[in-house]
Amino acid sequence: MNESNAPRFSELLDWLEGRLPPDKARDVAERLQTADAATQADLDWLRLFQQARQSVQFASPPPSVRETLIQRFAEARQPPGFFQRLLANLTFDSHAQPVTAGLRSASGEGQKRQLIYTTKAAEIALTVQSILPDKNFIVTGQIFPMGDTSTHTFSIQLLRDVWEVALAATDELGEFTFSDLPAGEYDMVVSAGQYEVVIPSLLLRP
Amino acid sequence: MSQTARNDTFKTDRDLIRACRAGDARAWERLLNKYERLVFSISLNYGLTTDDAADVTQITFTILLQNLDTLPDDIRLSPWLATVARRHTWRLLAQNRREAVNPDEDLAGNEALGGIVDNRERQELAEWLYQGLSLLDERCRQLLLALYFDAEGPSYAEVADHMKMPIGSIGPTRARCLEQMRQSLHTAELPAAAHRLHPLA
Repeated sequence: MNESNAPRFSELLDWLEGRLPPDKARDVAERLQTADAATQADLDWLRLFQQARQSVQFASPPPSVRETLIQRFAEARQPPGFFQRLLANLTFDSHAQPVTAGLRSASGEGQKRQLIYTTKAAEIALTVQSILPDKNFIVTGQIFPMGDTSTHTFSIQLLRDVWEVALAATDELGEFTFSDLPAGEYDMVVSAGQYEVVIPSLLLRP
Repeated sequence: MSQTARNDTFKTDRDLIRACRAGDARAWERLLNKYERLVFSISLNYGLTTDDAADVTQITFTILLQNLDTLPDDIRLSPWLATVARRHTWRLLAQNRREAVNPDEDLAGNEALGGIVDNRERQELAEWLYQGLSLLDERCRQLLLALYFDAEGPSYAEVADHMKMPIGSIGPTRARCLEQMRQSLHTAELPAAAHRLHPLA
């Protein structure tokens, strides 16, 4: 039997789970008689998976466990004090377009656009570049903590219509990357232990 | 943006650890989402009670919390957590049985442990399954957990509703996810119990 006639992985799964109509199930069984070693190995693996999942218990711990662990995290990693939410100010735009009403445009196919935002806690440098030919965007950034800000790792959340679409963490140089972002308007939230910096209305458009 | 792309920017344990070090509570919750079932289930599959398994889960993640700053960036959390959970499971089992258990011993040779051998095999299978699941993106992992490990046995329609997916895509997607898991586990050692459970042809 040539390889192309061997049942595909999805057919094997449906066959094992009894999801095929009788005629198709018979067909798969017949093709399996002369299937190649790779197909047999897939079948063996699926059988093992099915048998294993029936003999293994998977359960979530009681909610109180999670509540305790979240509390412990807050105690251990978030020092006491007031949480600050800071709105970032755009202080540099390489396209040097007039800024209106907080709406920033980051655009230009194949072009890089540099944006610098500042707050009292950190300076945030963004580079926005569109990707040809599908015109999606790459946003890279670097965060420079200011003053006595001790945290050297930040998490960066990208929101669209209040929904999180991506989350990244800075590396040892304070850099981060979001790739393959479709055009649209985003909010970026940069978080460290006791504060978060909000960059509103980051507009990516072709 | 697709859900897969959505998770690509935060798919590694390295990202999770870094964000947790930064005090990001969301990252900690995400880490718990990803691994709390593994840790809890290891203890359960060894035969601990729900209360004891909950204690082990709490201890394991507390130890992780205490070690966040010293963990290597490239650590793989699944085996690390499994090791810690296993160690404390053994400790509780030993306490419960009022017998000393040396984790380095071959448990099969310890007659005093009785049924633990079966539990150990089950636990190996649990770790093997969870290793595969932890290598998948979040959406695939949630789909397979819902379809194959939810005690309520939800229908495709219920899973589709819960995951906001067209019902017609559940079957093909679960096959793709399982195939990804198969490929991800390609180099992983099969659990010892696999050969007894199913004599490979």
